[in-house]
Amino acid sequence: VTFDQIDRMVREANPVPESALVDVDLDLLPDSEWRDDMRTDQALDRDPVIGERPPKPSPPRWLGVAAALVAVVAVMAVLTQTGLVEDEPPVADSEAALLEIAQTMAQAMAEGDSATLLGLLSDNADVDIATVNRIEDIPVIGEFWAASKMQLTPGECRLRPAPASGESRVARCEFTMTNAWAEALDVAAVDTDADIRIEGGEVTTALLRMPGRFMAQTFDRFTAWRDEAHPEAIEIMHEGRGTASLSPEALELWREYTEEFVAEHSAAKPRCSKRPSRWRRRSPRATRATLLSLLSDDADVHIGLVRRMADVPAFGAMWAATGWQLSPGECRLHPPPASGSARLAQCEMRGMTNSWSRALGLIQWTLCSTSGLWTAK
Amino acid sequence: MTEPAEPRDDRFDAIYAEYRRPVLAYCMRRLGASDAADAASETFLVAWRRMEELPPPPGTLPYLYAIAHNVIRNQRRAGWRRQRLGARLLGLADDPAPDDPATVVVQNEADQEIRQAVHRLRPKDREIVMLYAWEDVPREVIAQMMGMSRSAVDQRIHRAYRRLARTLEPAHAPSKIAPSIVEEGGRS
Repeated sequence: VTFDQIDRMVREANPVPESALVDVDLDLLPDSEWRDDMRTDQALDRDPVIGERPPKPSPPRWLGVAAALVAVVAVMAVLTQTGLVEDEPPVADSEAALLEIAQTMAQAMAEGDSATLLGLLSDNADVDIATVNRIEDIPVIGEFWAASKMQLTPGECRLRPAPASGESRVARCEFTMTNAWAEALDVAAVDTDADIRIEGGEVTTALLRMPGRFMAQTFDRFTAWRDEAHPEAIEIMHEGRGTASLSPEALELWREYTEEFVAEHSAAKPRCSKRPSRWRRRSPRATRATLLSLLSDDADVHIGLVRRMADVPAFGAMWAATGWQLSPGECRLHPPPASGSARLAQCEMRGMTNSWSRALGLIQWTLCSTSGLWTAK
Repeated sequence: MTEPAEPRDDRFDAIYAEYRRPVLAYCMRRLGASDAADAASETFLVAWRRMEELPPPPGTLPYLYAIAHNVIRNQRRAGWRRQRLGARLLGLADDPAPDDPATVVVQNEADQEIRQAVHRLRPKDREIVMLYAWEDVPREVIAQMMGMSRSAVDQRIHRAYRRLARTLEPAHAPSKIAPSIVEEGGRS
């Protein structure tokens, strides 16, 4: 679509073309009526536009003044005073205003809010936000975020020192980033930042730093898997470029293969549930009864804080008090020993956490590979 | 008995005769027909009060547009509605019939979509686009009205048109509008 085409379309959509009013009778009422009305109205009403403004000195009489010069000066004066140019805040140049722009930009990046991003970015802005590195792709950034389950959590923005010359300022905004590939591969969320350059109230550059190690552990792992599993999709998903294509067809493939990748890799690893474990949902009474029925009278126990058989009856209460959570995983029977009848089973206990670890912000699955040794007679 | 017309009244008569239609059209593009009549009459009321400040052509119409802009803004903010004087002054009925020429609106669906897209633009961009495409105000004058440079107006029109292109073609990847065309300066 060219400029001229859009221009023609907009002009043709004029809701009140000049021709529409040609035949409308807009003649003045008889002089006596409208002038009386004017004067009456002037006496009774306050002017909603100019009534509260301080009186200004009378401008030069229009008769005899150079038309163009007076027109420009007068139009500027009235527009400034009547507020047409104040509909939106003036071009931001204070540090507070610049920070606000940066923070709004960071929030929009995190949310994939293309409308806000387009409103902030200059026409020829230089963008590189994860794999979105063309301004033409900004309208679908939210769709790509959804396809890859991108999670950007914005942090603090700080203005970098003003340069010695030039009018632009750069704000550096912190983010925590993760995505579906990282979660599927148990790669921890990574801290990163973005440089946002602001000039004339517009963002001219938005560069989100992609930590190389994180990319190697997530994006590269995903694309390597994709190249092997779906080699026919490479051309569509990249269009010959190194980074992602965000065409509608490509977006659908990003979404579909991300889901497939997550499903495949999630099945291959121990499942570490974020949800409250089944263990905690059991009643302490049932848990205690089950344990007592299974354990021998002189069993050697070492289950969290429960170290003695005498403490087993208090087991549920103790775990409830300390907020322990565990989800049982797979059990494997060890080979039979050369002698004796006892067999050893090793059972995974997943998602171990407690009130203290949660209070300290430790994520639940950090200990998900812990295991316990159980003996069964 | 009618008082003899004063020079001030004569000048107002001339201004009203020349600009009543474009001012009414300006208001109608932003309001409904009956509200537009109110806003247009209020615009001329303010103009009459500020006759000494009213610039000669070519600045008169932009000045009136500026007044109308503020009248509409105040009207929207305060919930201000009709003034009987407006309807009388403009010779319009309070509730014009649908076939009244004053309510002529092209009901083409595509045009409606474009108008809605224009109304979704950011306020300043929307005003610039309307002034440029619907009121046919030269870009230099728009720049003066909006208190910005001519190139800033060019950029805003370019950006707004590009957004309109994206809005109107959601199924397609947005395309750049050829900068060379913009640099030609459009119609101004």
